[in-house]
Amino acid sequence: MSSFLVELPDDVLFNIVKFLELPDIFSARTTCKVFQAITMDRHIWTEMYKRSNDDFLPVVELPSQTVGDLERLLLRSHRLNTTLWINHATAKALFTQSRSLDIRNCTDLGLYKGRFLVLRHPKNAIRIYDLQATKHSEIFRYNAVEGEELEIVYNRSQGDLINDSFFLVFKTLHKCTILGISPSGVITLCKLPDFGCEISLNSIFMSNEYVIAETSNRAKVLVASLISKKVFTIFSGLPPGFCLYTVIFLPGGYAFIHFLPNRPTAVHYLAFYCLKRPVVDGTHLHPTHDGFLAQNNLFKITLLSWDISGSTRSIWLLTHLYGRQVQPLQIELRTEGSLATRPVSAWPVMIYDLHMNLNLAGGKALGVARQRNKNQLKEHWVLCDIHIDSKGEPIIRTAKVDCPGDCEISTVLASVDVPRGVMAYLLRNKIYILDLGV
Amino acid sequence: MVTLVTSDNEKFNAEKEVVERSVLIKNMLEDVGESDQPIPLPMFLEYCEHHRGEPLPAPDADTSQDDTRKRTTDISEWDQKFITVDQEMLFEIILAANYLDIKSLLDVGCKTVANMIKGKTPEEIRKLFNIVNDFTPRRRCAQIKKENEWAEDR
Repeated sequence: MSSFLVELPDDVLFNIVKFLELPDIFSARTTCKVFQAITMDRHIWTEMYKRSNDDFLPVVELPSQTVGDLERLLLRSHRLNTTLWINHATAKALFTQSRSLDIRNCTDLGLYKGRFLVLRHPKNAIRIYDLQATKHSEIFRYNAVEGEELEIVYNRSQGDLINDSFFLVFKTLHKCTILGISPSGVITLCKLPDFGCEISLNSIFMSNEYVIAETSNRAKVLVASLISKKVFTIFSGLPPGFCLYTVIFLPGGYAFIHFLPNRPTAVHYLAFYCLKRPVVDGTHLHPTHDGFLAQNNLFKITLLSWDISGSTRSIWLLTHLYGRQVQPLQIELRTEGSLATRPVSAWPVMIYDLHMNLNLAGGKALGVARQRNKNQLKEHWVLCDIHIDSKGEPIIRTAKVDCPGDCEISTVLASVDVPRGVMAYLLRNKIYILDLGV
Repeated sequence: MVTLVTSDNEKFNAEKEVVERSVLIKNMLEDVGESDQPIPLPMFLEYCEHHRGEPLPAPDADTSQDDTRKRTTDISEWDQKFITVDQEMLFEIILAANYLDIKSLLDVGCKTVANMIKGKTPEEIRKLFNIVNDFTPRRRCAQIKKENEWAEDR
């Protein structure tokens, strides 16, 4: 029996495809050759572009766009639009469940795969909950022994996504323990590998694959692989008078390392490393900050967003001065491994702060914007979408994200599961979980 | 009054205003002028009767503006009932609506098919419409890769 559908005349098939939503067009495309041809037709895409009322769709000259360009533009804007769809039903369901969780005085919060919720309590206990389980959602509890200080160092899925596990590091006085959760919820505890030298427990940074740590005498920085459980690089590349401050892991084995100067007047140092190979590049931070730094030395970099999976290979860093407007830095990864950096002066929005780890992959970032309204300072979450137009200029679109609970953002503990875009936040002893649908 | 004849020689009488919903018939009527010549037609009288009096869409009207917001799900209750038929009949209605150039009915049919496709995986679509996957295995690999590219392009 043949298919009635694919035997319809082309103009009728066009008419059917016209009524489809974007994801359905891609599904239809892969069913058979007839639909592949129909859905590759330029008319479909120009029409889709014309009728789309997505806020995120950039204005382009249609004739200059290929079908592929149009598809990309539409898909991107579609994704961004659906991203803003906050799943209130889910939030409510999980919120109800969260009543059974002991979240009083919770001091730290982490979310993995939108499912495993990690809470730290002030009395040095770490509890892990499986939010999908119907009963007894607590699946793990670790109580610290005396003298042990638990600190959650989670990088979530920021690193290489090979293992795609979630790691916690317990910092204690004398040792470091790694707790790992696999995607299926298996929990393992292990000690940090023996690095052969004493490491400073205050300066350990981990991705899923790498550990970057400073030695106790601050002379060296080591890079170790958690997968091979070997130290494979120790470099004494630490500039004199600097200490390890922040490490931002990127997929593909890259990392930014922010070195903090020991002297308050000195300039910060930002270096970019390919962890599989020796040092690639180091660059001084944008000099316009220097004057301010000299006075305050309050400075922080945050990864705003990255997009190194596509052809653009752009990374956006937010160089953030406390209490001042942020200055994003665009960094382009060249194919040969070098970097091109430039400050983005024409940043269209004022983003006050980006909470650590609230960046999302693929040119999206979640941040906090401040608005002064009748002498009242209001804050709200903003979702940014950054992409580069044909001239290489960044186009940034932002949209407000409505969070249930009327949250005062500055006091909220929040965690975003990168890159899945599931966000958990704690507000007035309630946990809200939002599916940002990225 | 116009007399319409189906392919199996059944005769129907209908008012001119009703059947003019079909652009084809409207043009035919204009061509033959005022005459009692019967015009061939299948089962669309019911549809046209129901929608009589509604404004006809202007030929070549840019419907994209209206269609933007209310794309697929806005089939009226009556139309929904009318179009609840088996697949074979559905595609016959679509073909006939296309032939007779009844834009509103064609859209109802196409929207119904679009709704059937919506939210399904390629495999589910193939199954539902009995589509044979005619990509060669190598092509299929490339196709899947392409599919995944879309998924990863974030």
